[in-house]
Amino acid sequence: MIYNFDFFKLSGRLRNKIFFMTVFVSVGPLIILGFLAFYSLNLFHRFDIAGIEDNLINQKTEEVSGFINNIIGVFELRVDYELSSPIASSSQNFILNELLKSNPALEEAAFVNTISEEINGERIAVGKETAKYSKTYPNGASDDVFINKSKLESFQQAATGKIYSGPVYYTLKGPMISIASPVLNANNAVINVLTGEINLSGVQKIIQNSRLGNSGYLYLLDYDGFLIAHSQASKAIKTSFKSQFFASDLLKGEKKLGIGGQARYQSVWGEPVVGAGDYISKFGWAIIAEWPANDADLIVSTVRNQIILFSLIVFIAAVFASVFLADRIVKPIKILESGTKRVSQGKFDQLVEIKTGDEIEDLGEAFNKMTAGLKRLEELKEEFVFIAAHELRTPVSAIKGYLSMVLDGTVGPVSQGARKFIEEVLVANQRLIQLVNDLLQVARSDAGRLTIDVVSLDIREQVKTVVSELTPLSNEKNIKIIYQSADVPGVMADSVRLKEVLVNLIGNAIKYTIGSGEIAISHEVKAQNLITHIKDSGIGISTEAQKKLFEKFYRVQTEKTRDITGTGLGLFIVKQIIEKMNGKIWVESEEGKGSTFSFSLPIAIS
Amino acid sequence: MANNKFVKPLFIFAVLVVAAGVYFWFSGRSVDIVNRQSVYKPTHLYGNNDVSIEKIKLMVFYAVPGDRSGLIYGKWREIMKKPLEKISDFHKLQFHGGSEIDYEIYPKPVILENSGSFYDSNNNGNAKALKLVAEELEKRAFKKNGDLYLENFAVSPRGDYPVLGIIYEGFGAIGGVIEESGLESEQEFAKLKNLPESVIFKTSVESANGFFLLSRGYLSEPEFEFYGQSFLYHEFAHTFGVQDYYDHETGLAFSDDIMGAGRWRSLESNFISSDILKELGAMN
Repeated sequence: MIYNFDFFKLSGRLRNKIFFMTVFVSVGPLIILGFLAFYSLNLFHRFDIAGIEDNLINQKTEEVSGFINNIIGVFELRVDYELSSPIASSSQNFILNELLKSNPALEEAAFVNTISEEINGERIAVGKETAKYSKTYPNGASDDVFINKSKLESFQQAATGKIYSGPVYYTLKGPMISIASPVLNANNAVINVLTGEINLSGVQKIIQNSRLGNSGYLYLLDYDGFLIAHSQASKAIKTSFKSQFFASDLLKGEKKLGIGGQARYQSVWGEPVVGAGDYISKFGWAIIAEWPANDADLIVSTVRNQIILFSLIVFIAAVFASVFLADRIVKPIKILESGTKRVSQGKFDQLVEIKTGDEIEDLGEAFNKMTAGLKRLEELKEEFVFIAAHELRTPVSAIKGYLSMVLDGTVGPVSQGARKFIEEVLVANQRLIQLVNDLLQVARSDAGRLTIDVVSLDIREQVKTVVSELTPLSNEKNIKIIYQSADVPGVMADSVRLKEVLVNLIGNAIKYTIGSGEIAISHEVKAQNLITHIKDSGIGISTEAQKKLFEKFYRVQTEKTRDITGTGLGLFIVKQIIEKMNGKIWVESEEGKGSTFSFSLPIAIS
Repeated sequence: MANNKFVKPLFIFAVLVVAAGVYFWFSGRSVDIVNRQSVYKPTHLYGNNDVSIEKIKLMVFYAVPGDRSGLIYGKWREIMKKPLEKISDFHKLQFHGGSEIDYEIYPKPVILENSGSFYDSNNNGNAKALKLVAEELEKRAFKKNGDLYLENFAVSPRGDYPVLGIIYEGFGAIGGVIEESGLESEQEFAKLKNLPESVIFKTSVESANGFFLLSRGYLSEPEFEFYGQSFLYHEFAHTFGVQDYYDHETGLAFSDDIMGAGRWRSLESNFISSDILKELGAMN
């Protein structure tokens, strides 16, 4: 079996069907499944991101709040006694010293007087510091640096019994906050205020110890949107985040947690991120987690690219597989089709070769058997026609002979009436003789016994001879035959057969011209052939009829041709003869406007 | 040639494939929302949007009265340089980058024309010394025919806010804004600005928009070791209009920042309150 790998030549309907079906069945479900998988992955991935960011935010919020609350917690002092007198100075120093030692984040702590009465003969102004320890004064500050905090909000709030924590302020040591706490006695009366300055470096460390994927980060904003801490130091910027929509919403008290709170936006550092955040209400801070989208979605992008790549590979494989499959199925069918066409043309010798090892091969074998059977039938038919024609020839010739003798008066005078009948029989017999001769010629041609003796000859002589023979017939019908016999080269042809051809074609031209008319015979040299045109002004031939004109027994059946006799074999025989002389014959015609029969013969090489 | 009846299904199939591909590609991408860009607001003089203090050109002199030239502090340049660097860092931090100080120290001590008694006073942070020394420096260092004139030093870049800083070999800690006015008297000006007359002085200084004077001791003496730099910045802050946040009579502070109680704290632990920063345009 010979394959013709025309991969990209999708001719034929079955091939197209197989191609589309294969591609559709293989790629379609893949795309649908890929779509569903990707959609699900995308959706669950968003939940995962939200969960990871929320966990981080919640964890860090707890740590940050805990850090500050722990310090505030140790500032909540209560004494056991009921007296409304401040804590003794020595105790104050002790407490402050211990506070600073045990809380490294504490930059400064001070006791502030809240009692206006004279104590031990001494009157200390309300709001005045009475003891102070700090990183600057690790052994306690002297009273000449004590300041009066009575006007400060921190003191005023704590003096009323409320704990105060102030806004973040930024020092060269880092961000800090002020706190102030009432010192209460057993009766919950405020006997002192304890103030402190907390260094938020510990908070910065908490934030810096954050991990979010490969490049995600966490940052903490103060009430005014300034950066307190960032997990990536390189991203620390000085400007306020208050104009950034995400941060501004958080600083207003909104929470941005969960799948509903998560947002995708461009960060202030100019990259697309997935952001989540929370509001730490106690301090008015916002904590924000941002995960660069290309890092957060890495898994999704990877899966997406894999799905696309896989689909592409499957699609290409499906294309090739479908073409191969279609080719495998369609090719033998095409072979059978070609064989069928050959059989329809009467060619029974060439068998089909199909080796597919399946039912199509069985079909090929059956087809060959059928062809062999048809060939045998054709041979029998030809033999029958030949024998029948041959056997018929003798009696029809005898009939003609005897009827001629009767008309000649050999057996006595013949009455007018009898003569008339006999002449009718003679005409009918002549048609029978013509039919027998034609059948014999066809039979010989089919059997390959039609002899052609090709020689170089001048076609003009043949034409003139035939024109001369048929002129009486054309004159009867008032048809003029015009022959343009210019100088033409010789042709290779059988003179006898050529005469038969010319008799048939010119005879047909006369026969199928009703009433008067004209027949023009001319020649034309084209390539290595001499073409002879016989043009009439007859009834013309329809386009449909032209297709079958040269078939056996075909005659044009119209109103105009009803009375015109013929065997239907003339043109078939003419075609056989011309083709055996290596020529071609064709017709150009239009109904009602006449026909031009043309045939070509090879020019004789001189 | 492909049969025509497959063209339509093929087309629909191809469209579906392309649509699926587009969805695959874009559904994983972020939805970018461009943030609203903040309208840039430059930092400015306290309570006055029209005068920018984004770039402050601080020209510092070590001024020594004529009769105290023997008391010139040997390491005068060193004791000035470090605090000036520190207050520059402090200033940039407090303004979140919205204002910067470009300081320059006059290359040699300036021996003033008169003796200390001419400049000194005991009240008001020695405003007298500030006025007289500044005017003398205006004449000598900022006029082309002055004996102390240095073109590179005296000319401030266009757009900068020029401030004159005087480290004085004598008593003093004061600072203020120089404002051009057509009014004749301090009284009229005080009334216009709703300020006590005692804090208003007429001056002929043209080369600076603000000036301050601080005693050299604050930068060199051990007793001022912890808060001397804070005092330096405190006075400097007056040059762009920030007022004291403490009562001059009682000493009671209204704020804990460097303009109030915080001036007694080291500069490392100091800050400017958000209320003041808002008036300076450093915060929304």
